[in-house]
Amino acid sequence: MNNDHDEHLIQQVDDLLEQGKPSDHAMINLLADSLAHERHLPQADVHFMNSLEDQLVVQLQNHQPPKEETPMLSMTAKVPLRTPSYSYLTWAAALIVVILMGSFVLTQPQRSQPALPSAVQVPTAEPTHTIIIATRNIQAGTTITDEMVGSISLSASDFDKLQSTQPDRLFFTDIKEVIGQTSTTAMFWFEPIEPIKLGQVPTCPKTDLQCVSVPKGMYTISLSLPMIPLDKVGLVAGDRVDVLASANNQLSVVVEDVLISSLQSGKVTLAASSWKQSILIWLWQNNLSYTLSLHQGETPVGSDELVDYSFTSPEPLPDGYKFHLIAGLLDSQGYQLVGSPFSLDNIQFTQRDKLMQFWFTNITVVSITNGTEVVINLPASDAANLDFLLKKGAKLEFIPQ
Amino acid sequence: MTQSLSPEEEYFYLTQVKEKPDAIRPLYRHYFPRIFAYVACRVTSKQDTEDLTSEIFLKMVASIDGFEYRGAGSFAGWIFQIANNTVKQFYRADERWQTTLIDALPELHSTDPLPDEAFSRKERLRWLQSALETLTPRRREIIMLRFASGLRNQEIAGVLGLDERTVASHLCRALEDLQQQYQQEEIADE
Repeated sequence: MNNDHDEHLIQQVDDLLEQGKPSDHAMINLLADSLAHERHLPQADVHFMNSLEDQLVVQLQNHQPPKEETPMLSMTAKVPLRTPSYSYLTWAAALIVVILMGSFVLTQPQRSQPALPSAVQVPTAEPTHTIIIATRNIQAGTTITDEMVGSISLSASDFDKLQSTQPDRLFFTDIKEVIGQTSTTAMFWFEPIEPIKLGQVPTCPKTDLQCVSVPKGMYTISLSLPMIPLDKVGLVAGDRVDVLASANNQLSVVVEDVLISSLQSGKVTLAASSWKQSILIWLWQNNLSYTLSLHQGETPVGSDELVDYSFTSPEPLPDGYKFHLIAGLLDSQGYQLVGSPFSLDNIQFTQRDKLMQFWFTNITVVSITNGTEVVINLPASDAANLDFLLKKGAKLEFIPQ
Repeated sequence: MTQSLSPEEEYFYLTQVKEKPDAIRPLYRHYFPRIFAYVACRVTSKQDTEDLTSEIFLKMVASIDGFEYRGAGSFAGWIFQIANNTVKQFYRADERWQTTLIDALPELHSTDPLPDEAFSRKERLRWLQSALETLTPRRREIIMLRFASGLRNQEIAGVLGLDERTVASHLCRALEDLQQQYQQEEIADE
């Protein structure tokens, strides 16, 4: 047996499955492409998955008497009392900071882990960095007030760890910097507040030709300047543009019709509706090269005429079930939404983790046949957009009305 | 809805689950797709898949007090060991379940971009299915655990009761066997 050869093969498998790094071994690539992608895995009914989850929680609750909450961090701002019941989103948000505070326990080499300690131990290192965090769940589009944010202190090593999760990650250090700004994305309890999550509406002096005010309902994101300088393509603040990103040496439009809000200090600030903002944030997070070109044409706004639309539900629905529909698509797939038949701006939008969610609430359920053949009645433009989203691979969720 | 967790997050939730039952939710959402797929590739009916998946997670919750965290990957290894034992108990004979292992190879997804790409993918899957059939059951199992279930070699070793080096060796030999078949196929096509 050739140990070096084996180690090299194993390393290639690990690199591909865990970091997405293509292998020079054709079979490793083929297996990963065919078997490892989540979308290829057999899928379960959402109803089954959710009911089993609830069953597990009930089983655990039956074994565990309720106990008092143990505070894990001290804060310099008032924090609303936590309710006894936690959603997983709250957990996830709290985790971001709590893990960092407690993660030294996990990263000690050669250290044997205790068997399920009852609480993560928090180090008492001298704090050297202050960052601003959300002290309650904040919806996208909310104007930040002092009751929504607080500050915590992190040791230098914990702060470095937090920052290392994403290059060039910036945090606010003073509450005053965030008060009055608008959240461009949902933020959760204990989540650090970053400039990218806030829409900083530029105050434009009348004499500044490189800045225009942001229309209501749009949120901004500042990006480093595009790979083709804007003056070379004759673009200025106030222009409506398409954003093109580079993949495989080919440029294609990833978001269309956004506004150049300002060109200042080596940054371009783009203003867009919340769902387009999600794609721009994805672009920024992945540090993708991009360029801008002048937007041409108009996307029709919509039509109030009601039509029937039929589709097959991915899960059986009970007879007479009344529901709202959510069409969800990963933000990494958001670029596919270029060319929608009608503007998606009028559809209620939320972002949950990496999932972009379009809500169709203005619908009437006409019929459900055999549990899965569903006919709904809704405005023609919504029906066309729903059809478009489904063809792009959006997954449906049903929320009881 | 599924949720992905880093090892640190996983450890955090494990430390909390005794006190706060809701902490099981992110762990469940992280492992559910992999466990469900693991079972679905080994039984033929949807009902059996759901029954076994439920049984695995209920066993996991019932015995989580006794789980001892031994670093990243130990929880994955533990839960897949429960899954492995549960499926084995279901069949009560190793040979039978191992032969059903690849019956449920993935179907084409509707969002595959182009018809010729979709066709090519389908052909590759067909070829892969027949190539996997030629491997020994153990090597086939290791390939499926590594690529379809996403377990690391150390975790696979825990599930199958093998040494990690043995798993690595089986994996390499399986890859070489498949690669050799692939190359022979290409030569034959030319």
